[in-house]
Order: sequence, then structure tokens, then C-alpha cells
Amino acid sequence: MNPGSASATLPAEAAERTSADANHPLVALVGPPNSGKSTLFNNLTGLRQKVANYPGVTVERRSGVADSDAGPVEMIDLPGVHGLSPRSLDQTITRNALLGELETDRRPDAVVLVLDATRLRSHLMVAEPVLGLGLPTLVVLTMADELDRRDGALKSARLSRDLGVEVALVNARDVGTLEPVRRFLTALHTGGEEARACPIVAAADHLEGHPSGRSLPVIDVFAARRERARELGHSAGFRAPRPSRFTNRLDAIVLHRVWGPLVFAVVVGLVFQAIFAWAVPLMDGTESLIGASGKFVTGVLPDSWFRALLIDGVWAGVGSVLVFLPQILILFFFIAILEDSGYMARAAVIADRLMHRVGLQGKSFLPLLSAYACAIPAIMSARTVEDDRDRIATIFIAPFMTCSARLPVYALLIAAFIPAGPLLGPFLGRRTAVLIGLYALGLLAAVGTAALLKSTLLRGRSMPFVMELPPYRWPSARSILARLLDRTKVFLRRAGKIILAVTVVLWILAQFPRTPAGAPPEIGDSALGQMGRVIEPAIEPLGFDWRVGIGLVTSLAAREVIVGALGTIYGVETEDDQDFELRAALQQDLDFGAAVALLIFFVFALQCMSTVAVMRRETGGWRWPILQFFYMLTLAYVGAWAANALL
Amino acid sequence: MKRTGDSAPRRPDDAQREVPLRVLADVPLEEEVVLVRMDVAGDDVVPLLEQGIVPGCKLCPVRHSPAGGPIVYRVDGALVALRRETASCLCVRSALEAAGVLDSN
Ligand SMILES: Nc1nc2c(ncn2[C@@H]2O[C@H](COP(=O)(O)OP(=O)(O)O)[C@@H](O)[C@H]2O)c(=O)[nH]1
Ligand SMILES: [Mg+2]
Repeated sequence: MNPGSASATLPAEAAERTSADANHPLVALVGPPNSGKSTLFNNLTGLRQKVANYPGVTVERRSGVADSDAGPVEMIDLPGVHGLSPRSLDQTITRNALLGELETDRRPDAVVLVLDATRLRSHLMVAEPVLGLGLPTLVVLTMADELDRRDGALKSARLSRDLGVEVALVNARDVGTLEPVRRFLTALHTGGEEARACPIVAAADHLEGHPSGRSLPVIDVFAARRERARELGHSAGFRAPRPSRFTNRLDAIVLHRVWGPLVFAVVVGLVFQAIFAWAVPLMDGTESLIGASGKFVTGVLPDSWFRALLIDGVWAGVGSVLVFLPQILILFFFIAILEDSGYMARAAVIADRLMHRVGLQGKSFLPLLSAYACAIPAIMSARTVEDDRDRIATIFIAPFMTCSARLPVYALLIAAFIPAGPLLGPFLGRRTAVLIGLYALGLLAAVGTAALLKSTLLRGRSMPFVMELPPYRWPSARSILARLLDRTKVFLRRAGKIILAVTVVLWILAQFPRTPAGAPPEIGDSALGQMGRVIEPAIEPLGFDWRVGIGLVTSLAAREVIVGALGTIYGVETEDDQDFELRAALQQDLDFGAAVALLIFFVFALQCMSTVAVMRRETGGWRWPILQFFYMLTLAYVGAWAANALL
Repeated sequence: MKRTGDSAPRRPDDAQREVPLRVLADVPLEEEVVLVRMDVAGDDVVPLLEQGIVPGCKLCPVRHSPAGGPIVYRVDGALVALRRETASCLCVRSALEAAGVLDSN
């Protein structure tokens, strides 16, 4: 990029260009993590937002439309950054988005730089590279309320004069204080003078790491930046806020020698309780809703191949995944509260010691906790782990955590093969014990694998563990709602695409080749059945037959699909697909050893193509996903074989 | 943004001789210190720098976490947790003693 030419981009010109595109001005929200970008974004756009991925990577791109007095403005909420060097995936995306180097996005017409006023000196370090872009910029200093409450001070007018761009001191959670931001957005339409670029394009190191930039030792770059930030703060009469007393008092408990780990255990216990116990009625409700709507559709449509496809394929397949939505939302609800309140950072500190012992670190805690709902968001959230080796190790072991997709499989097999009854008096039933055992087995494999990886492939000195502990805050309902909506959209899109495709293909394979009379074939003679027989020799040592084989193949789409698939397979055979019948059919088909083998296979195997795909994107190649797939498959196969042979 | 000439980026070895250096991990709770040198290799230092832990900044240990876990420091009005091993790579000087040498903040 040429800073000189870019700084000549006047707002009027910008508006002209975008109107020529028949588009609104594009404004990018930039700033360090936790500075209040998303809060500001939500309050400016309402819930009129879109979530998508940047091409080729799993970084989410959130965009929305905000209103100004002169017309709508398109906003994007860029990933949080501390600078613009291409140091991490998030930082690279933000940098490329700002430079207009993404193929899909045009270059933003203006920037809203969001900084936390209570951390002015560290956050101003980001100002330099961003202002150096030469785009019309508004600096929004958030947390005005906290600065005030904790006796900090700042003259934003003076800072504005020194920086040469508008500066607004706001409370991002209070829409009433956002007037200056709206004025800036209006100025983008009208060419008002609020929307101006920094007149002095900063020193040549403004994009450290940029090919044209001088390469200074990185410490010197930051030291110089911090010095200038300090001077700016000094000149603007910045008085750092005193530490928050509330945070201090709460930390005394949360990080206490004894209470700290206790609070941690209670919080983790609560999350699990919520996912597994409280989610059940919601999941049951969803299930009956899907069932009822399926029946309704069956009643309305005439009997035809189309209805069969719709009900047996689409409804059964997509329905079997939709059932998990409540559970996943509950998990994300808790994660949102834990993150927004500030507890998650403390949990990472508490967990660090333990995780360090198996070669990981505290920042792996959140991804691994999320993995109990689904490995995909878990793998994506592992991006907060700065150390690349730790990040890969975290991603690699995430699928060992028992995701909710395994639950229906466990539930089905346990109900079919483990007799109900007490194990330890009234407290622990036999079935519950087996379920806990399966979870423990997965965790054990994860820990062992992490230790193995970190002492072999991923050996090496690790980066320093640096964890920012934000002050405790009340989570805002609005931001939590926005996050849950996000998750729902992403999840539904996935369920819609992949699962739909697989179940439809599966159903069609079961319909052909037609019998001479033109009827659907016996399932064993269908294309699906023939495929099952091809795999049969490979899985025979585990005690499985071709039916389970087909189930295993289909479960590659997503683990829980096997339940629907077995339902289809046995259902197609017996013309009846009641739950009870499925259990009875399995009891006939598998002996006890084979059932345990199947359970163990599901604990270990990576039967989820979406995970493999996300893994490829996040590690930037096929090496890790392929290794992971075969590693997990080997463990699964050997484990299942041993179970079948011994029992 | 202006660059002022008189306060060039601080060189690590400037004023070391005058006051003995300690490592951050050894600083008792509530004692404020000034960061003088960072013995962290290559780009590994960046996560620290990004949190404002830069030579010349003031740090103050405020809390130990359970079982010898990370130590919580106050830096630039924020709380940042560092492992002991990381804090052992950071050389500091007491803020009071340093006041005459560095006029940080
Ligand atoms: N008190 C206060 N809290 C804020 C303000 N802006 C953001 N927050 C809170 O700070 C936390 C981080 O905000 P978020 O928007 O997620 O930051 P992001 O990482 O930059 O997107 C959330 O808990 C917000 O509710 C503000 O101006 N005042
Ligand atoms: Mg955000």
C-alpha cells in the first residue's frame, strides 16, 4: 500500500466511489480485543447483522448496517488486534481487510478505531499503525463510565487535536452516548469535516513487517510506540483509573488458594449440569416438534417418492441434528456469560497450572470446554492460543472431548445393552456410570495425546503465557442475545448444508437399484447395502456386520447420523422405525462385546468431516487433519477390537 | 502523531549499573517496579509487548494464583497474568529507585 495516495482519499471521494458501486460507505471497526468493538457494533446496527466466514479461513466476518442522518452505512466488526503486522490469522485478516487486499471485500472507506479508555496507554499503541493507513478515522474511547467511576481522567478534545482526527469518549453500552459516532457516519455521506484522516502519516514503521517498512527489532518498535502513546496521554491529561475495588475483592476469592479451585470446579460442574440435565426437556421438546411437523407434512402430502424422501431423508436427517440446538445454545449462553463477566480469563489462569503439566496452557481451557458441545467452534476458538504448538495440540485433542453428537449414540447403545440398576446405592446408576466412563475415556485419550504430541512432533520452547484479566462486568443481555443468534445461524446453516446432503444421498442409495417390478430393493441388495458389504471384512474383527458398517460410513458426515441411519436401515427392513424396535434390532444384531466395541469406537474415532474441514482451514493444510484422522481411527479400531475380543 | 526527539527509545543497558536489577518473579506483592530488560527470544516477546509490557513500563504484582500458577500484575491500569517462568525473564528495578533515572509516567 502507498500511504501517500491512500491519505488523499477524501470522504467526498469515498462517498462518490461507493455510490457509484450503488453501495453504502463501508466502515471498519478496528481495535484490540475486549475494547468494546462488538458492543459498539451491536448498538449501532441493532440486530441487522450478517455472519459469514472470510474466504478460505474460519475467521468470522460480521457485518451490519447502521443508520446515520444522511443515510445507511455498512459496518464490519473486524477481529481484535494489537497491531497490523501479519502475525496471527486474526491480525492478518484485519490487516488485509483494511488494506483492501481481500478478494471478496472492497477497501473500507473509513475506520472507527475502538480503544479502551481505561487502558489508554497500551491501546494507543494500536493507533499508530491504524492512523497510518490514511483512511478517515474516528477514535472511539470506550469505558467512559468506568474511567469516571474509578477516578480516571482524560481530555478527549486535546487528544483529538494531537492525533488530528475526531476522538469520542463514550460508554459503548449506552446508546445515548454514541451521538459523536453517528455524526461521523453522517459526515461520511455529506463529506463533513468530522470524517478526516490523520494529517501526518506516521513513521515508516507504521506497518511493521510490511515489505516496504524498515525492519526494526520488535521491542524497539513497541517501545517507541509506547513512548509516543505515553506522551499523547500525558498531553491529554490522562490519569489512569485506580484499580477496580470490586474486581480486587472478587479476585481475592476467585484466585484464592482454596476458594479459587473450588469456584472453578463449581462453575465447570454447573456448565455440565446445564448441558446434560437442563437441556434435556428442551431437546425433548424440539424432538417432538420435529416429529409432529413431520407427521403433519406426511398427512398433507400425497404418498409419493417425494414424500418418502422428504420425511425419511430430510426430516429424519436434519431433525436428528436440530435436536442438539438447545444444548449447543445453552453451552454458548454459559460461555458468553463467563466471557463477558470476565470469569473466563480467571478460569484460564486457574487451569494453566494443570494444563501446563500435560503440555498445554490456560488458554486451551475455553476451546476444550466448548468441545464438549461441538469440536468445530472449539477448534475455531483455539485461535486465542497464541503459541502455535499449543494451538495445534489443542485443536488436535479437541475431538476427543465428548461432543454432544456422540450422546445419542451412547444413549441408544447404553439403553440397549446396559441394564438399568444401581451401582453405588441410589447415587450412581449403572447406566450413568458407563456414560461417565465414556467421557473419562475421551478425556484420558486427550490428555495422553497432548502429552505425546508435546514431547514429540510439537516439542519446543513455548511462548510466554500472557493473559489479560479484564475487570468484572455485568454481561449485557443484548450482547449475549447477539451471540446466541450468531451461533444459531451458523449451526442451522451447517445442519442445512452437510447433513441434508448426506441424508438425501443415503436415502437415494437405499432406493436403487430398483427391483424388476420397479419397487425399492431390499436394503441388503441396494447400492447402500452393497457398499456395506464391501466394508464388512474390515469391521468383522470388531464384531460389526454390514449394517453397522453403513452406519459407520454415514456417521462420517456427523456422528449422530448413525442413529438415523441405523433407523433407516433397520426401519427399511422391518417397515417400522420405532425407538424400541431399533434397540431390539440392535440387541439381535450385536453381542455385548460388539456393543462395547461400538461405544469405544465412537469415543475415539474422528467421524466428522466438518471437523476435518475446519481443521484443514485452521492449520493451513492437510498434514494435521490427515494425521489426526488416522491416529484417531487407529485408536478406535484397536480399542474396539480389544473390547470385542475380551468381552 | 509527532515524534519528540529527546526521549529516544530506551536502550536496555543505559542505567543499569546504578541500581541492582531483579527478575520480576522475585518482586513481592504490591511493590511497584519498572521494566528494564526483556530476556525473551525473538518474536516470542510480542504477546508481552502487546499488553503494554514494554521496557520503561511500570509493573506491580498484585496476586498469586493457586498452586504456584501464574502471577497477576497490574500494568497500565490493567491486570495481566504471567507464568513464573515468564516473569523470571523480565528484569526490573524498583520504581522508587528508578524514579531518578527514568521518569516513566
Ligand atoms: N462499562 C462498560 N463496559 C463496556 C463498554 N464497552 C464494552 N463493554 C464491555 O466490555 C466487554 C468486551 O466488549 P466487546 O464488545 O465484546 O469487546 P470486543 O472484543 O472489542 O468485541 C463486554 O463485557 C462489554 O459489555 C463500555 O463502554 N463501558
Ligand atoms: Mg468482539
